Amino acid sequence: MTSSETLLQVRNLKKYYPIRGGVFGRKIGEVKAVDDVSFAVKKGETLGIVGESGCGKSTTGRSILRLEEPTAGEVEFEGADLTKLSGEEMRRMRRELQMVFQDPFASLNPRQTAGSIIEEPLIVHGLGDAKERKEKVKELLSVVGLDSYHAGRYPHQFSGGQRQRIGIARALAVNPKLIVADEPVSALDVSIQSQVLNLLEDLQETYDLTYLFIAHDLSVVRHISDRVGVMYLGRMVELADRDELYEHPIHPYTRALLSAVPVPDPDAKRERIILTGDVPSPTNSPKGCAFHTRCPHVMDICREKRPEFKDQGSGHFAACHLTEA
Amino acid sequence: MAIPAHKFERVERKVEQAETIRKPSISYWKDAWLRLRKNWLAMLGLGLIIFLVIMAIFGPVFSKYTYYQQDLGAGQNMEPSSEHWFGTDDLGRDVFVRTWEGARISLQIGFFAALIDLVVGVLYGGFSGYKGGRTDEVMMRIVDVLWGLPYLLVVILFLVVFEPGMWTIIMALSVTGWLNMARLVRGQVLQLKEQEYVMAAQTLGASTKRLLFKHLIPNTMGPILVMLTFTVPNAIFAEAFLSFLGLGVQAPVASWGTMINDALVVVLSEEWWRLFFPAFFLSLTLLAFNAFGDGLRDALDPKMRK
Repeated sequence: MTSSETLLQVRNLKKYYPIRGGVFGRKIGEVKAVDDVSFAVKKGETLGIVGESGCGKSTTGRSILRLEEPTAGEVEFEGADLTKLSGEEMRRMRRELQMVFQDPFASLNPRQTAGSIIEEPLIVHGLGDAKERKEKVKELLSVVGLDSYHAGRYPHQFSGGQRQRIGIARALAVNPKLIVADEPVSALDVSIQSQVLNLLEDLQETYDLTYLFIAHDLSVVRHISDRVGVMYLGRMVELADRDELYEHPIHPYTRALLSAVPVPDPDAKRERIILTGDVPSPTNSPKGCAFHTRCPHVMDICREKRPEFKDQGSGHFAACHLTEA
Repeated sequence: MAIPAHKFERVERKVEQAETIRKPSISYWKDAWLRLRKNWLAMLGLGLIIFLVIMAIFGPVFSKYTYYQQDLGAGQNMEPSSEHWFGTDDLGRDVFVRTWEGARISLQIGFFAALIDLVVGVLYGGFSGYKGGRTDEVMMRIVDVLWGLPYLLVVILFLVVFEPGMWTIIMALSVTGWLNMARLVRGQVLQLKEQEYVMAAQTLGASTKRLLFKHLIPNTMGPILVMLTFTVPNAIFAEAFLSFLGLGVQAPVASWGTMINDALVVVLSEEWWRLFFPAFFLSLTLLAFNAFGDGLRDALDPKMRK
């Protein structure tokens, strides 16, 4: 159950990729993949992060786990700043933070059997002897809904859904506290998506897990999340409790995004907000509010000053100048 | 033609059997072997390689002569006969024994040169590709510089400074030999390290060593093996070439290259066997390795799967 205790606190996280050019490979610019993002994840909750392709949601997840070294910012996990840990300290810390990947076809080593894939985290962290590890692998397989005889098979002998279950079993092997799920169901058939989502929910209850759930599918995020954050062009624009966000969105971008969700009722009257133009390039992100180039309610101040990401009441965060007008 | 209904037998679908897979679980290598077996040219190559290795080990044992035993007088330049199966040379030495003695030297040079290439090239290339960035940049520039060295010059320098012999040749060939392997492995690793399973292993906290040896290199084994099967004949050929220039192993030790070199002075006279046998087996070895390597490349490439 969700408690008020904070498990993960991300403060002013930035990840810039340098663009090099010229004869001497000088830095001629940078891609601001993640630009000053702050949020907190409470123990036992699921925080969903949505946004369109290239908005930096995956990079955020990877920067938290230091798969990409963050350019700046703090990632506080149980009181320790992950960005300041040494290599060995981080290695040990990785037991607590695991990841489920998007592409079940690429996230499993084709040369390893399912059993040895799931066993690997146990070996890496020196948990148990060979016999105990085999037992644990069997147990994990049954936990994610596979059979123990699957252990001897290779990834290419599994379906996409089954592979994703193996990926989840691998993440669970070291009893982590936080799992970053980077679009875990995007690559799966719709019929399989719900199975995997239900599995993730069951596991959350059994093992007291906290999820950072990254996705672009708004209905999936609504189904699984307790709170939802919306990202646009490397910035977090809105963050609120799930129902609050879906019922009373504040930021114009969130409103436009939600209006695009198809409603399975042909007679339903719905107001579509159609945005004009494209997402600006993150190499040259707009001054002021990142969304001002496409915002239907744009004001002069939006072009000048970047709006602050602040609480608009009862934990509903948004970064928009409209809230001050 | 209608088949009467009673000839049909109803097969019930059993739930517990739905998940069973008929074919046994096949690993990558078994799968490759199944495909390789169907390629008759590659299998012929493999058979020849095995034959040559066996003959190199046991060939000299079959004969009562040794490779350095001379028979000056009646025994010089004898034609192949039941006594001397491949004839004798100008010093009365048995060509059969010398051919297999030469096979020992040539094959050893091939295998050891390939082994050194493998170890150095894979470690160097793998590390360079995995670390990336500046490390990779520096390591690859070193390769480029070595690449620019004229290979023959290096080899001759080596043979002048060190005592000529098999190991000197192996070392000389290895100085520049591993560069290709390093480049190949680096390229493969650069490509593979972006795969999500490598990232997954990093998330688990796996060490660089584990990442390299458990995830990256095993997935590069196919191209590495193929390259090795081409490195072996290249080294053998290089040795023959150096021996032909007089830079090879020293008498009385025989290698195919020195034997061909010795026989060349009489190529226009009657003693054809002195040139024919070493040249024939040298060609056969090169052909066998190339045929095998070619087949191996096809077998290890999943896109060739029918």
